Amino acid sequence: MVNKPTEIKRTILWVVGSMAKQMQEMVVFWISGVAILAAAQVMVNGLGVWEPGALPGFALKSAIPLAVCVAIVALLAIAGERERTTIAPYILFFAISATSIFGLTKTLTGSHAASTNLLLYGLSFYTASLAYIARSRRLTPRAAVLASNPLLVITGPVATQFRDIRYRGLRSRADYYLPFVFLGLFLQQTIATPLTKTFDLLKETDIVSSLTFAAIFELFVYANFCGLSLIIFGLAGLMGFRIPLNFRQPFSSTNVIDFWRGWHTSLSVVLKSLFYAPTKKQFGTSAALFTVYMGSAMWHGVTLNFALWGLFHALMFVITLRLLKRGFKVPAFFVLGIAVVIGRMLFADSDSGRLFEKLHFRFVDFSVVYKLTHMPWTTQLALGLIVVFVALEILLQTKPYFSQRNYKFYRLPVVQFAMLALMLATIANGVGMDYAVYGQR
Amino acid sequence: MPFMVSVNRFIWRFGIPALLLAYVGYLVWGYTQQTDGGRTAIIHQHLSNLEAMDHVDGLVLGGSNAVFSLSASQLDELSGMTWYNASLMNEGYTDPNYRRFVTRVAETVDPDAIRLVVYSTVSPLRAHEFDRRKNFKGDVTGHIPLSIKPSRSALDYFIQSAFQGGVSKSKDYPLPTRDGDIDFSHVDCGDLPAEGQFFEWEDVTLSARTIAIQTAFLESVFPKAKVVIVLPSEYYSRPEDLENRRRLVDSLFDQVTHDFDGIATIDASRVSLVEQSPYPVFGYVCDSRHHANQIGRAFRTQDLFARLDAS
Repeated sequence: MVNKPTEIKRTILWVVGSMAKQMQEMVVFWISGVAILAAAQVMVNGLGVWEPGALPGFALKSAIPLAVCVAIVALLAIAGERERTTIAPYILFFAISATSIFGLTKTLTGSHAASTNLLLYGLSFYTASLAYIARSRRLTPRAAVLASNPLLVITGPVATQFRDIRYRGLRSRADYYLPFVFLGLFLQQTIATPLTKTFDLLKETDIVSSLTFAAIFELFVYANFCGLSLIIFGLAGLMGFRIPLNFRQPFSSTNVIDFWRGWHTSLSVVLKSLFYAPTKKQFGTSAALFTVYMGSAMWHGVTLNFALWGLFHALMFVITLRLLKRGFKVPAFFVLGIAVVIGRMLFADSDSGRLFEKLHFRFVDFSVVYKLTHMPWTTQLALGLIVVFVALEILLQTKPYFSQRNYKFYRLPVVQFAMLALMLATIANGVGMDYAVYGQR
Repeated sequence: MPFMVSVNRFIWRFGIPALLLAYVGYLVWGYTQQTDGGRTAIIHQHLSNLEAMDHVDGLVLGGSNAVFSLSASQLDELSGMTWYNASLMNEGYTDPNYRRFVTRVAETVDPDAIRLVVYSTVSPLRAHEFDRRKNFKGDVTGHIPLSIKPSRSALDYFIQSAFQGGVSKSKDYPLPTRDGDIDFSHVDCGDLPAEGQFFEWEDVTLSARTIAIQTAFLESVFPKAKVVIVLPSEYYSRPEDLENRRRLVDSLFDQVTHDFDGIATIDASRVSLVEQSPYPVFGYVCDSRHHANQIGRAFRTQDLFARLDAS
């Protein structure tokens, strides 16, 4: 005969105990995130430059997202099941679109991501994260602490998954995760930062300049966002917490569909859950794809260029599906090239007048070549390196070390040594701007 | 395979730590090798020049564009007023640095006696200049504290010392004359190529906001002065850049005027916005498209005076 009160008491204790343990993991992860960012800020700003005034600002940047997330979770806890899982996720996801409409946050074109409002710092990431978690019916106080982790809020990934791997020893974690940190630093510092010197080309409207800039900017965004994501993935892993790998060699693809399996994967998970799955059931695949890309577009900013970008990419996706159904693999590869370059051209310019000028595809001259050949050597080196990096991803995608799409080749000790040597030899203040292309918003 | 294992282990245990150690060594060494190109002495000279002056009617402020391309002594002759050129190379590297310097200037002269302040900044004509200035970690002389990044890359240093006849140190600039002007007899203009001098776009919103903040500061420091915000002359090798510049200046001035309304302390009636003519020929510039040589300085100063007179 089971003693019922004892059983219930034991169950309650088990639930409370496991929740406390999970919260403790999250709190450790959160505090570690703050500590890492504070240390990074001291190292980047210079020893002895840490001003007392910087501390409250930094503390606020960490505390505000936490407070907002806790408030959201508390509000949803008292809301009904339907509101929590079917209405709130969309309100949360489009919160950043609303702030964008009212000019409180900037659009995420990639070239001007500076935060304009401390109160809204990191909003796009934690609202997307909470939207996904609410939709997945996993909303707990733990989710608030995870979604607001300063390490994730600074640039992503969107916190969709989390696994405690502290049972693995530090040595074992370092062996696996440290190479990701070095690779991320290489991409961010040696490639992305010097490429910011090409940003002036955004204003050029002739066909040669605008397409060249679009291609370079695509490579820049990849190096910057992927680099930062890898650094954060590696640091979180070193601390004993596994988060999603946000990029998985996106250029190791033969078509647009494959490409998106490797690009900003944490956002893709959210979009799939919020838009693709529910729309596909009722309206079919094509409609679901248009909904996904328009949702993504509005998350980046409510401007004409993003709407065009969403429509364009959805169209490219649908065309690719049709081509692949008929077995046309080579045309699908060309569609990938067009989608990436023209898509980035649409994405990068929120000045509608200038964008329409670009879409006239007017030929003027090849002065962009002159400009590129007169860029600083660090910028030219960065351009050469990222072209080689992407070319290897494309050409060797079926070979060992590339086929798993987890940057295994770049984690080989000898490659790590070469990358680190190159990074330490070329790194300097003034070679370009250091910033998180998808961060600060 | 055992060979590979030992190579991998060697790289992780010795190769990578050795690289990191060498980098730290380079950082410390680079930190101790910094030079200011004479900037500290120039600042002291400016302050002692100002102390020695009976009175000053007009001040020229700004960055290297004003150091090279505006002449206080020529403005003296043209206007009959007493001018001093207190512009600094790199405009003190950051806005707070330069404001501190201007505050010291104001403490040295009688700020109520200043009737005209010309503030000439090239920042709105440089892509991402405001970001650079905001993120610069050093002081008014360019001295950077020890940080995780050096001011010059190790490879750059190696290439210059091994293949380009030695490392070029930061340029040394001469002490200013008693009017604060640069002494061209001690300046080597070098060989700037005539081609490739392009106009650059900066974010208009950011430029306008920064200019409005600087204006408010200048009005507060010099309470009786008229403040003239000047977009300096530059040389461009492509004709279409003149049109690009025109477009930028029009939208910038509109935005600045709009931003003035948002700052309660600004008295807009005391402010003028002036754009100076681009240099018509390459022969007017020295070592950069916004640095005039002696002929260019005479041209630009005359142009400024005509515009001041008109406004």
